[in-house]
Amino acid sequence: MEPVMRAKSVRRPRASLLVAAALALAGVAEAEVWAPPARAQASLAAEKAVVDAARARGEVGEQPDGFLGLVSGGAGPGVPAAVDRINAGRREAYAAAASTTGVSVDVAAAAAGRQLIARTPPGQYYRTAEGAWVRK
Amino acid sequence: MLYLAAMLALAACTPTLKIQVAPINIYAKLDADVRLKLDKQVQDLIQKNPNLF
Repeated sequence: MEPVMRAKSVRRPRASLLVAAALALAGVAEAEVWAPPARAQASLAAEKAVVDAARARGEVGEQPDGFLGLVSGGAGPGVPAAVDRINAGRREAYAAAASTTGVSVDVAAAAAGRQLIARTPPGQYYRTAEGAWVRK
Repeated sequence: MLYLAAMLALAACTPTLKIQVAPINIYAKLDADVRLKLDKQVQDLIQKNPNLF
């Protein structure tokens, strides 16, 4: 016990200490959270900006199936492509959540749809189960 | 003609309606503990992936 503790205090491995601290802070549950590959992040950030602007213009909204949809009435250039890319990323994320909970991807996606519609800020659009677009 | 089209549409849709259960209904019938776990995982996904949500 004692030699080990002494060795630790002498070496001071800063990087691994940081990692250990990060893991301790994150906890077990968060270590399991799915994240897209790092190289996809920059492109996704650009698409997210396009989608957020479209959301604010009322062109894009959340659907009960957990995916973004184009609000009837038309969307600006680049918006449909950005929506498709983000939805593809979401599908991967839902697949990860589905496999760890033992439900189908569609069910995991629907669980997300509930939360995403609840989080939609006032003024933006979401789609009802009946398929109508409603402004919150 | 219209009548025929309507009948065809009905015939095409009826079997689908019978087999399909909406994912949200499957979600609603999950065991409470599974639903809680799923909700928590989905919440984490949403919070940890600001580029997707």
